[in-house]
Amino acid sequence: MLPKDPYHVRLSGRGGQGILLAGILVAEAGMKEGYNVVQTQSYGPEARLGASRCEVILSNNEIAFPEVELPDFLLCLSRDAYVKHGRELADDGLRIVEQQVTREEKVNDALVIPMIEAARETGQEIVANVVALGVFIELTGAISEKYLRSAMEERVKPNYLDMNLKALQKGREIAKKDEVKGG
Amino acid sequence: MRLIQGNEACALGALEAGCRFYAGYPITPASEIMEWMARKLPALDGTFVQMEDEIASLAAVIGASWAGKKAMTATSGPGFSLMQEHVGYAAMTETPCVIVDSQRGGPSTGLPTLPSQGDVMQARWGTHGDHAVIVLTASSVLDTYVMTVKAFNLSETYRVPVVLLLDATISHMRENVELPELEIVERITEAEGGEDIFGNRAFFPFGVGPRKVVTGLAHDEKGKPETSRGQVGERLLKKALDRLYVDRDHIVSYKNYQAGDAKWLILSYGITSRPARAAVDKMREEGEKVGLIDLQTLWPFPDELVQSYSEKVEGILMPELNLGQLIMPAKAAIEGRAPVYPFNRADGKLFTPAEIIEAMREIMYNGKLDQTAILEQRRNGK
Repeated sequence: MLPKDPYHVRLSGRGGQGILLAGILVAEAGMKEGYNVVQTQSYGPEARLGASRCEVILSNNEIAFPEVELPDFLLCLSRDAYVKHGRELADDGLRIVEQQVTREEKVNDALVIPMIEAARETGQEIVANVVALGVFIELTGAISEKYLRSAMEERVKPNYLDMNLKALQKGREIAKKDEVKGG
Repeated sequence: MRLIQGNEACALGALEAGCRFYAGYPITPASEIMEWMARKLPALDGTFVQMEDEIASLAAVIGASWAGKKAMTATSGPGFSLMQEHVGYAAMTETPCVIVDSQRGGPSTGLPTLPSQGDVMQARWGTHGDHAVIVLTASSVLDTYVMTVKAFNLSETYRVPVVLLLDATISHMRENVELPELEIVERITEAEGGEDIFGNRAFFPFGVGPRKVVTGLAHDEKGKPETSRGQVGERLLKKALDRLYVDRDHIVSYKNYQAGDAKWLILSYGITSRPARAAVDKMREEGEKVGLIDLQTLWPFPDELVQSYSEKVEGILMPELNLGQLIMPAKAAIEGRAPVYPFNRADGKLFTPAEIIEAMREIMYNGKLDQTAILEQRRNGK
């Protein structure tokens, strides 16, 4: 169930981290769940390594404005993304920041989670985006795992599906741990 | 129900409409249209060609159309600029073809990944000389599908180039949609239809029957160049324009959103109609009688429609992602019946609903609009 309707999700990271795919998966799963969804994206002229952003709005009603102004759920998977997209948040919003960001930036008012490390433990760093989705469904309950898995089966290349499904579980597990809650 | 991207909806609409030839050159934010056509056309016995540039792309599209295929190309502002010579050629030779321009910030290389509505005038007047052209736009993924089909239908019906204006946001946006069944207009050809091939004639197919001349020179109904008596060429230009004028009701599409009893109107089109709609919802909740007309046909400009609303409202707000383009024909149609307030930005950002509400309230309660003040205070993080 949506914690809020409409529910605004902003995912940000470095080009190449799969932020766009993560957003599409949330949108696809949200649609399967029965919501209206809009997914938008923005990125600089650089194809890789620049800060990239993907937004999804989920609602039981029609969605007029397609962009997110104040996210209810905000993910920052890289330092640049945190600096560029990490500030705005709805009053009762949830800010999730990759632990590596804290090496270079002071991070406040956020849950700091080692998503990249968890991805490496699962297989490869590239599934950090899906670890983040595990964190997302565990902490928000906005969409159910079965629809996210079904979206992944459609949108993730078959050779990588297993690793991604494991990454999703890993994300749920690390989100449950108490130390996460401290921020 | 499917989750699809604006550019994908455009390609799906084109295929549904019967497009079987695509020639183009990749450019952000239109490239996915090309990618989808490249993937899908071969299996449908269609042809996909990546050309050396946009000039050649539209040339190939015009040639394919004369060879009997429904044909299209897609680009963004920089490529659309290159295409202008052939937009004129398509108009002069009464060639059905569809050109999609997914607008990004311009001029020149500009803001390659950011949305804009800066090509509205270019789509109408980019090529030299008077000419007939239809320009459509869309404000959602579903509408992109519907308007792409409409672009092909109108192009075949009136034998004119049809431009579909999208933008970087619509092109890349995904929404859940149920694709509707739509009527498809098939090309009417008339191989033995007498000597005339232009004017009000059905399309003449190449490769069968007698030889015909197709030229960019002014010509008569048979296609014979006629450059010493200018009135002959003028006659065909007027015929082409008159057809669009007479059938205006069929060509004009728009969406009425709470505009019926509105005292204050937002007139917008494309992606800008999305924050406008959110603004109307919010203001209606507060009891403010605001409505929206979301224009889907930009040219021929729906002047009767705009005129009729201008008689019923106290003021009109016209937000555009350019520095004031469609407001020119709007003002000409409204002729002072209601005050019209421009609201413009060309910084690669969409208007937010809050900005539109603030602008609307300023004109409602203060009778003026300092648009720079509204945009600047938000840019400065208020």
